[in-house]
Amino acid sequence: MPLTFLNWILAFSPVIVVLVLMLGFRWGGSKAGAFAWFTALLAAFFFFGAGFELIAYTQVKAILLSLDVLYIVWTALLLFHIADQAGTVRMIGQALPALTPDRTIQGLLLGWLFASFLQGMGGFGVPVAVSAPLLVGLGFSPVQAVLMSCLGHGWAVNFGSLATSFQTLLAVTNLPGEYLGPDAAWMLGISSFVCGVLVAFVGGGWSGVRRTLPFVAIISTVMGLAQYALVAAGLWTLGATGAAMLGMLAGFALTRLPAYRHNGGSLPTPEQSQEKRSLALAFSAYGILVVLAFAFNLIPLLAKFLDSIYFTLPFPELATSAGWVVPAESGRKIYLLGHPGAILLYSSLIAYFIYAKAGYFKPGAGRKILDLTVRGAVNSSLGIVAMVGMAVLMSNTGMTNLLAEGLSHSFGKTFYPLAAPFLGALGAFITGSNNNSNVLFAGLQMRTAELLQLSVPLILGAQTAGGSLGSVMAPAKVIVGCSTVGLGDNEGVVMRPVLAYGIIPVIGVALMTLVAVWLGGGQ
Amino acid sequence: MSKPPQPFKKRYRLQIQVAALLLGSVVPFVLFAALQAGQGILGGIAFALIVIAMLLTAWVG
Repeated sequence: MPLTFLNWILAFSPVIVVLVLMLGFRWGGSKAGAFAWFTALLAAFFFFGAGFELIAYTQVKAILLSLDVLYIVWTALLLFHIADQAGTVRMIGQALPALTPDRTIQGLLLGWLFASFLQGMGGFGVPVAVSAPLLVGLGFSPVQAVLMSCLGHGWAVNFGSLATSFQTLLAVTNLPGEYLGPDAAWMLGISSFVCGVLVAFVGGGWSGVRRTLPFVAIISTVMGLAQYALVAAGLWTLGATGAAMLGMLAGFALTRLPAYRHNGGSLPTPEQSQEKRSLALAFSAYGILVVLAFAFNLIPLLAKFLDSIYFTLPFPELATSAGWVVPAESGRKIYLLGHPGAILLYSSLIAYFIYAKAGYFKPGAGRKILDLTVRGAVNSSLGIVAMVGMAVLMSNTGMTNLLAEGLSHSFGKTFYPLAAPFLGALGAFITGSNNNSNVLFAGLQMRTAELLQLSVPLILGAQTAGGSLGSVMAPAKVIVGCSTVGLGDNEGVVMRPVLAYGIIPVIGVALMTLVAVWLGGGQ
Repeated sequence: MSKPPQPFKKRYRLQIQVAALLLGSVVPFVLFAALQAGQGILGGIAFALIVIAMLLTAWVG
């Protein structure tokens, strides 16, 4: 398909539909996603030469990808409602002010550090699904809660989820991690500061930013250096997890300083001691999640056993009449026992047992948990199925590639470093995933960097950093957050500020890339 | 004074959403089986059901 303005607009039409309906008309994600799916279907069939077989196989591929995501969404909601019905979310919300009475610091602890830590352990949607309702429990508005938990963890996506997105970058480009890792690590390390400042701004306004700037600066330095050291040492699978853990420890330590502890550091009263014992039990649901995630990922024998049972489907080579060819491939593998969703499910069952033994549940809580989980997850699931279906259809018919070509041809060597992270962010915005953005654009970015004689690791670092930070703006991720804070039908209200704030760290990465090229790191 | 009956869409929204989700997530596997077996008519019916699932999503989403 030749690159013309009309073809480019046609390829962009499904994304335009999503943007207009969600941002302009404030429609929900599922409704807008369904309309965008139909738009992609019509564009693919009438203008991009997609036949019935290609469209049909594409829909099967899309549902495999969707189920991979929905496994996490449903089980994360289940874990949350178990903790919520046990009263532990309220307990954590009441306990945090005891750690620090500073409302902005509380927001940073949950929306920035805890969400980043969860990104390291979980994956798609988990940080938003878990931390957003906790923020609401602290008294932040639902919109603030989703914004803070979305913006806070963007820096941790690439090396989070055991560096799944980065591993994909390595696989697609066939380049070693030691070569590609450092550039992505320093860009995202600096971005962690930007993410922290944004969370502080959303939570506490300019006064919150001024008051917490030293707190954010110290912790982002700790996290940035830790992530860089882990990646440079070849331990990129633990890059975000290790950095966020150190960040949380540093955060707890800093809240003990008089500047952030206005209660004078008095010893806990007997009531407070009692509350601390209860708090340990309250956190146990998430403690179990952490322990299981580490165990499953760091014990090779266990990981091998759990990953031995998976489901996938083989797909034949497909081609459009316009000449776009999708090679034969195996679809997404869904590891039934070792999937992050499975880990969330085990954690949910164990947490339910613990809370039940402790007598935390009221009669009928089990039924209520299931009811709330279904009500919360079903509409989000419809949105995800529609959005992923649209994205895979665009990818398999050459529409996404045409979009990328148009963007890259519009910029020369001087300005391509500015465009590279936006391309990564665009891919993540459309597909809802840093991983998928790397699948779509990493090869194209590498070829363009070679043609323009730019540094390949720098441009690929900008691609995956842009994808990491851009993924937090994806409608699919915002839908997940909204579903957990009672904004399930009103995602459009959140989308606008998410885009306005979420683009700032991407602009930061673009400027970093440009400066690196100017300083001679671009060759 | 009795409350006025809720419109069908509002009253059965959750059930319609569940039906759409089940159709949208289960039928693709039937579609895959039909494509692999070269069963064009079954494939067409399965794809039509997926389109219905998307229409339901657009309606009650």
